[in-house]
Amino acid sequence: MDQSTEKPFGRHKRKIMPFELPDAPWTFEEYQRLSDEARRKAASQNTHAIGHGELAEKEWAAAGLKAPDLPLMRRLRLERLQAELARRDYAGILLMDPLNIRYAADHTNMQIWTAHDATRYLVLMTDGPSVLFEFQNCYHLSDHTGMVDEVRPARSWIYMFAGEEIQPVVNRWGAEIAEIVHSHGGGNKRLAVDHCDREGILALEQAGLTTHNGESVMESVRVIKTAPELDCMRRSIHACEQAMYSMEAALKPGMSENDLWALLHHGNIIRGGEWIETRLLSSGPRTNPWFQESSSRIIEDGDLVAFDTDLIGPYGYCCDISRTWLAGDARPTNEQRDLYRIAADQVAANTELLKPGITLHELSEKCVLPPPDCLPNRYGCLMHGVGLCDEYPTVFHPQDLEDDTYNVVIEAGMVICVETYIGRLGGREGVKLEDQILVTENGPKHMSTYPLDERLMG
Amino acid sequence: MSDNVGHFGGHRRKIMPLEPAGGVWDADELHRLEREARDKAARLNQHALGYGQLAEREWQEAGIAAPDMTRLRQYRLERIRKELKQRDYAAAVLYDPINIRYSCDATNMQVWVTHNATRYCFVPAEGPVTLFDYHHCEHLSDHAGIAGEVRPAISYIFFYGGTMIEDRIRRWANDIEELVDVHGGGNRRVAFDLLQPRAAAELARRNISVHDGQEVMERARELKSTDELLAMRRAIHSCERAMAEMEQALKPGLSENELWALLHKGNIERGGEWIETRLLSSGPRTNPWFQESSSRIIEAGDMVAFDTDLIGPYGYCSDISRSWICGDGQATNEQRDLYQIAHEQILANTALLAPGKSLRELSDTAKTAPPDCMPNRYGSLWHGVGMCDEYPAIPHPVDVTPDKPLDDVLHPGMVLCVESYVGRLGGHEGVKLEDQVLITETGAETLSLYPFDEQLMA
Repeated sequence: MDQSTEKPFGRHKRKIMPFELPDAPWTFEEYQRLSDEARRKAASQNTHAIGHGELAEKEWAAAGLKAPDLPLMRRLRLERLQAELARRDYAGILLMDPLNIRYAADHTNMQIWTAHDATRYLVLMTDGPSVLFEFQNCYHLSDHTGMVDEVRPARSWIYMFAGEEIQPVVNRWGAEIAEIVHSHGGGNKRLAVDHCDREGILALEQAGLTTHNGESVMESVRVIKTAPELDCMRRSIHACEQAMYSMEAALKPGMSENDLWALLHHGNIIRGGEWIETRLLSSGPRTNPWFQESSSRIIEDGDLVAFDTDLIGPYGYCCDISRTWLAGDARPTNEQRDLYRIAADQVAANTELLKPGITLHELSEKCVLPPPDCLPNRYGCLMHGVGLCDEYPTVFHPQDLEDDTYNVVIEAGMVICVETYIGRLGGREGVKLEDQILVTENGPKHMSTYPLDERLMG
Repeated sequence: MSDNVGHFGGHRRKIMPLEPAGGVWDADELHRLEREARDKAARLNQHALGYGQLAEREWQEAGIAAPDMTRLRQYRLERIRKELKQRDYAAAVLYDPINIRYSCDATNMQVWVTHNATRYCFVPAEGPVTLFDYHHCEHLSDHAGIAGEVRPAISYIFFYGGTMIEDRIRRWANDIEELVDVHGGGNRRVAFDLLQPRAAAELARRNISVHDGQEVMERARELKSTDELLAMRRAIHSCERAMAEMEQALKPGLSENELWALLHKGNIERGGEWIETRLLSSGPRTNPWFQESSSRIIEAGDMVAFDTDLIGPYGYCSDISRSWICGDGQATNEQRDLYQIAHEQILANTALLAPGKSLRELSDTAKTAPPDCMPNRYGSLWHGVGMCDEYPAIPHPVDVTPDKPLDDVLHPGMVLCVESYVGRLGGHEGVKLEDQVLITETGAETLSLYPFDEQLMA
């Protein structure tokens, strides 16, 4: 899909032959040629270069959702990031979070595993270059984007790999990163770091750098979405919603919550999506209180079935929407309809407030809240940002505001999830609804399109 | 498993973060309703309900007994406490959701929490466990009866802290300090598995010293009890049933993603949790390894190779790799050669496993791939496994550096994955195989039972 971005790999050809092979069957030149060929092959058939497959493409075409310009998206994301680094006078940034690495360089590698096992990282200098430290023998997974200037083997000092020998490993790790900053920072030694244990921070500081809050940099940059990112997100949402239609079509009394939830996983993966962050699907009595995780409970006729997708779809963009359905052909009870109506009205009203210029604290004050008997069960927030996953900022219920709750202004280009959970304290059931909204100059615009339930609205 | 529901006496800390507007209830009524809601959620917790008919029937057919969850939880808690006492630490504070699960057997949005630090657990060497759970998730841990108290977490990630992170950290530290004061008996040495440096600085101001919690947890998790092994055997069996569904569905014309989606679906249907990676590839994408599952259409005669990296029922990991030939055709000689090399490597390196063997001895005597496959070798020859990949990782001799920890020896109760990837540098295809093996008193027992491919072995 983005072969146009394929760059010559000249710059990538740092010698990665981390061992001498006494009985190597090649000369060094042959070895280099074979390695280069293998990397070119891998780049040409990278999952993101091949595209997301016939099913997803057909559905997107039918919905009139144009393909994102990925080379443009990559450039715009990088420009936003480097501009923010320059604004804060940082020499560069060290990224450990696989989602931040993806934002900066648009490639993936074992995303969930590396989210909890720190085994790869990217050093992006404010004026270039971009050096990826990649897990052993994964050097071929980033070439398809042309966004990485050099790939080196990562040094991992997690206990699994370093054991008690953390100190020497982390010292070498820090020295190697510092060397890049010293070479390319033009004398600036201020390095932003997104997530890092203190051993790493100490090693960087010992190597002559000062460290700064890189999470703040990344969230501030990611919060405003560029046009091609929105194209990606629309496609991701559409793919998720197609999977939701499959779930709704399959929903019938007698199946388990897990059987239903499995269909969202299945529908996501067959469309080239990536993973699901949570397992928030429940039915009947398990819908109240909220946050109970999908289980083997058999769904019964007349149950409410509520879920939150929390899904990382195609292009790595998040589709975070919630819906509540009624299982079986029965008529909803009055209580079910009441709960649903309260939730739907709340989401609709709060969506209208999303205009550029309003602050988070103003939103907290102006938002419609759950009625008093549902307030103890309220959701964690009224609104939150979304992009490659849940993102900054967050709008809290007024009851949850603390002296240390930050306040910023809503701007055009933000994408915000409008949340509600409505369930009475001690009640049998509850309703979860959530829409994904783009803030434009002219006000809120729905990105999620999945219809509300006609029976429950009736 | 429903017999494992603890008594809730210890959990009733007042969590009433607001005055209910309009005075819907008096304080007693409010308490009664909250208590009821938590009791209901504990009874209906996914782990208390069990993993459903399908999984239970398959486990019964396979003759794998149910673990005693009460005993399993006590064992794991005692393992942590033993490691804490041995190092003279007052407590561990755990952020990794897998470590939290190990300590108090409660799950909550596991993947999301992995990259959003929003819940944590205080495990003292003596005294009650305090779980700081996500906003309004106090009802997700009662079923296990381990957490003596649940408090609302104070998260200082940018998503929640924004510009006021320092203030949040102080409020967060108040809780930690209070618990250290109450339960530490004067000891202020606390192990953290993950900790941002600014939080460490705040603790230093309070004379709390920070120590390596990863070491504590990896050491605790290293030795599996009989109950843990039953849970793991069940997780592996469920995974293998899903693999059989994949193998049955495999035919030319299917995309890699369509095949991979069946593993996700099969895992969730059986109450499993998530998959760490997306390591499935076919034909030319099997070499070099680590290419992620894509929309490529699998062709007749293609090698299809995958690595499950799956977190299954009970939260135990099933980390198995297999390679298959697509379609009814004959495998090529090259395919059979590669497969047989990999298979022999797995068998030989499994046979080396016995208690008392040092990691260095294993690395030195391991069977490795032939020279023309060595540049493409897998990252490790063996690695630990439990609730995910775990310590230790045993590298190829060519990857041994002075800072690799190899002096440890194997003990009964450890579980290791035996790894092989065999693909020639610049070659068309490759083979991935991996088995999960228990170290016993006398040798080793392979826990993964999925058969190897007859045609490729012939």
